[in-house]
Amino acid sequence: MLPLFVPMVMVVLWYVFSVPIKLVPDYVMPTPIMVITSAYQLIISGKLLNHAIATLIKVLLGLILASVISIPLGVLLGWSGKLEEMSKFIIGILRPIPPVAWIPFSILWFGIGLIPGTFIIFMGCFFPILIYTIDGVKRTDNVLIEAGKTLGTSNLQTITKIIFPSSLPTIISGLKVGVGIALMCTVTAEMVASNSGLGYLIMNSSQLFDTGSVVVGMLSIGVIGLFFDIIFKKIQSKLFW
Amino acid sequence: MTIEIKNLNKTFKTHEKEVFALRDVDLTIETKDFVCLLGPSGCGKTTLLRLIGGLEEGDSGEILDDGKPIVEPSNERGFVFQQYSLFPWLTVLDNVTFGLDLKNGSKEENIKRAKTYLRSVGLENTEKLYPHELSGGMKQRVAIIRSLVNKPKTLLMDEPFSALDIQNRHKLQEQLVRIWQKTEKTIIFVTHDVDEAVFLADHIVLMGKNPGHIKEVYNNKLPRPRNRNSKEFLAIQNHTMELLES
Ligand SMILES: Nc1ncnc2c1ncn2[C@@H]1O[C@H](COP(=O)(O)OP(=O)(O)OP(=O)(O)O)[C@@H](O)[C@H]1O
Ligand SMILES: [Mg+2]
Repeated sequence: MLPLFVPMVMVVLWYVFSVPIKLVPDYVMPTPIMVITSAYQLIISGKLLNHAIATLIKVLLGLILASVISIPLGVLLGWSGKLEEMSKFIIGILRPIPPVAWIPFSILWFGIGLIPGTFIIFMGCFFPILIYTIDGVKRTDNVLIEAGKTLGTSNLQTITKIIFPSSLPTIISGLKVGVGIALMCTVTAEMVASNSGLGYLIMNSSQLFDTGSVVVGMLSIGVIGLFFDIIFKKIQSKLFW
Repeated sequence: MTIEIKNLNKTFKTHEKEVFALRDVDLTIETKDFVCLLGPSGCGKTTLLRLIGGLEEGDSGEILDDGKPIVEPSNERGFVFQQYSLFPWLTVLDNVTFGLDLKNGSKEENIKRAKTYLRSVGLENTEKLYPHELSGGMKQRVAIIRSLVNKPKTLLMDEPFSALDIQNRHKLQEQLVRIWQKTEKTIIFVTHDVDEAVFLADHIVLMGKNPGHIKEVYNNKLPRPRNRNSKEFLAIQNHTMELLES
């Protein structure tokens, strides 16, 4: 109950200032009733679900693609000092580029739709997952690696049976950071290079001065973020020893 | 069937300094011996044990296991570390079957064998627990079992009981002697505790430092079971102490 107290106070204040007092006009700040009406219509028409699914698909696709490449790569780089040394410079240069800076190329290369959004998300979560994985691998306790060897692990088994599970908590933290970035990227990408998704819903509604739907779109993104957070907390509580 | 160490030298280079960890070490360990490496901190006990385990490489000299040079770790030589070394993401049972599962044996057989070994040290009720749920003594017992279950010829142990209180230490020492008598392994056990060495070993390798070297090997003929409070035990303990300090 306690976490709901602050939002409830905010909604009451919002109502008071937008309906009886009417501080600003509706198209600048929608009333709670407008938001509820928009939400109702968007839900009934199935639009909200479609947009949310479009966003979720991009987030998951981008995240999975990025993980599939950056986790094994991170394990390799964390394991071999030489490879890490070789890739330091290129990672150092590519990493600070904000994912949204890839929007022009993503449109040029992939047009409008699912793929450019996925690409932006991929670029956004690739480096955090990579960096966290490298870090987790490097922090693997040497005594565990040596214990494995005296129990008969080959080099490959050392990686798959000791280094990987030992870095898993750190990798999960990287995924968590990745999801946060992915959500930000999707919405930004959808605002310019898409015809579906919550970012598109927000942008489109704002052009139609439908501020109620803008708020519904914003809150939906928040809910998705919260949902991922809960999932990761569940995984982590099972994983951290 | 012996471990032979011939003219072994080992230095560590750190920044500009060079530490002579072991100098001109010669030692022969017969199969089924219980050997303790005893000496003050920094005399190279851990280094020598790690060299035998293949976890470290010597600068010169050689270590032979049944005539074959030791170049890398192997499950023929189990190693119990001073630090806790159980895999924290695996249950006790999965920790114990770890080495067996690497060899693609039948999972059922492996579990059966692991359970038998765990029961032999009274740990049958901990199978489903994770390492962080165990006491220090239990962790080290699981670590010992995790090595033993692979049936290594040799068991190398680096002060495995040093973090335990005295009651637990004595209990585990007795358990170890029983395991050794039953399984007939070669055990090389590092300790800086004279009492522990006299209780456990047939041969006590006395080491000195700066640089690390072997002073002499004392053959402990005290019959088993050994009683810490017996006159003979205390006499040998005193004698060993004197040798160590000379
Ligand atoms: N990896 C290393 N790098 C540099 N020096 C080392 C390393 N390992 C050991 N040494 C040095 O070699 C010497 C012997 O160390 P070792 O750990 O074998 O001693 P020890 O007899 O096991 O001591 P303790 O009883 O404290 O465990 C010490 O002077 C130590 O500082
Ligand atoms: Mg030591």
